[in-house]
Amino acid sequence: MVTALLDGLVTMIVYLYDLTEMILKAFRDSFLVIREGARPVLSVYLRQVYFTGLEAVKIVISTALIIGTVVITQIVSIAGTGSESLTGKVLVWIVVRELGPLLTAIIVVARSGTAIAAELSQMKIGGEIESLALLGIPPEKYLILPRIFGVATAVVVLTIYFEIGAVLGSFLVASFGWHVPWEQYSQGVFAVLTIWELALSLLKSLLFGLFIGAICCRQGLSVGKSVTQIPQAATKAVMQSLFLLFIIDGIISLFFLIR
Amino acid sequence: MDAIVFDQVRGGEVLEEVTLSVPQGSRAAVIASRQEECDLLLRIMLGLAAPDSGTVTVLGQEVGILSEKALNHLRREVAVVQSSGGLVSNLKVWENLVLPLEYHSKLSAPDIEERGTAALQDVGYTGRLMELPAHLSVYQKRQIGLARAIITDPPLAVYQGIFSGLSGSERNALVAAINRFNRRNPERTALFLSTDEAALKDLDINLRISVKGSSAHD
Repeated sequence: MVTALLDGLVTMIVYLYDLTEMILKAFRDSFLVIREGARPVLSVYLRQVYFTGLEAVKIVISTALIIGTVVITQIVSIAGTGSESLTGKVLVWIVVRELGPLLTAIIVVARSGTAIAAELSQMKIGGEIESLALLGIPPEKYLILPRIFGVATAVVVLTIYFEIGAVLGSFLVASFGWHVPWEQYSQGVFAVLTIWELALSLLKSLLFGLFIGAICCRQGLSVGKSVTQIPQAATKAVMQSLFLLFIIDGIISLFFLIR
Repeated sequence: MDAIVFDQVRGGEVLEEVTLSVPQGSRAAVIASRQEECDLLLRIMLGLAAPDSGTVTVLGQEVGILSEKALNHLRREVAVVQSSGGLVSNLKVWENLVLPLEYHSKLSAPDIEERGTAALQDVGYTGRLMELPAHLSVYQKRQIGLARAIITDPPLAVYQGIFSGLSGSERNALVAAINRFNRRNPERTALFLSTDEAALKDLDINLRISVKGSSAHD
């Protein structure tokens, strides 16, 4: 039992190391791409931002408004009206620290993680990766790099939208339900919303985005020759991304938030 | 000088010992008995697969000892027209056509557009440019693959089984376009990999080589 756990732990560490190396290579390659391949790589990057980011705006903002409503209702039901300082604190803790980056990343995994893994695996099985290599175009620069950075950009921007949406959603409920004026509400929120809180939230979302991109690309390119491996790769990409999101979230919370 | 040299190359259970050389500027046909052999020859030639033994030299460079960067540089010098067209499924026809120029060259957009348009006229492509490859016929995919080779103007062009499954008129049009392309630069070496020698008739071929597959599969 202990040996199996240790084995699992070692495998996970090795896997995390591989993913980190993949992300670092993408950063190194980005300097090389400036000299060669900038135009097509930028085009793939923008396409990825469009599909992962822009097309998910509606679902992210809707979710954020609902989450904001739920959170403010819960806080008021516990603390009552007139405790704006506590309301602000809890809202920032829950939405900005945790739910914003995490829920946004989960939405991205569900929408785009599967798409990336399926697309790349289909390209590999169809011999397109090899066709690119025959053109002298390294797949890691043309396919992986823009996807990793595209997903990371999308997650960071969507997280900002999510947090704004959740705070506005909660204000709307507070305003209509309990007649809380904007000045009073915003004082409570902005008193605890520091640069530190925002920076941590963005750091989380950036790491989430980078690792989601890396995992989905890795799973997509890990297929062999059978098309039955495409859905398997997509499922693995989603499950591993979700698992890693919680691990990263836990690690960041442990390191930065216990002060 | 030879453009391609295979020196005692063996490839697992697919290829028996292959020794061949293709002089620069020649138009050579390499006839294999199975498609697998053609595929493996191409993959070994461009460093996508390593031979069990022997050495391969392409355009004066020994493939087996090249770094990944040098290999990519070599691959840019070799245009491969594949039977599938070798197109990327999520790029439109035009994007597929100009991809190597967009990636490797510093040409301006109007220059790339001019070259791309000329290449499409060369191969007689009349389909839509903003179509995804999935909507193209096999012939159209090969036309785009050939046009992509034309715009890169490579010193070595490799054609892999590109005449199978075409109608007579389509085949003739493709043969004419290939002959025009190869004659345009006498220094350019052309290599036709095929399992069917008859499919290569009417092409300006001046060298014919047969390779034998491994007996393990015969």
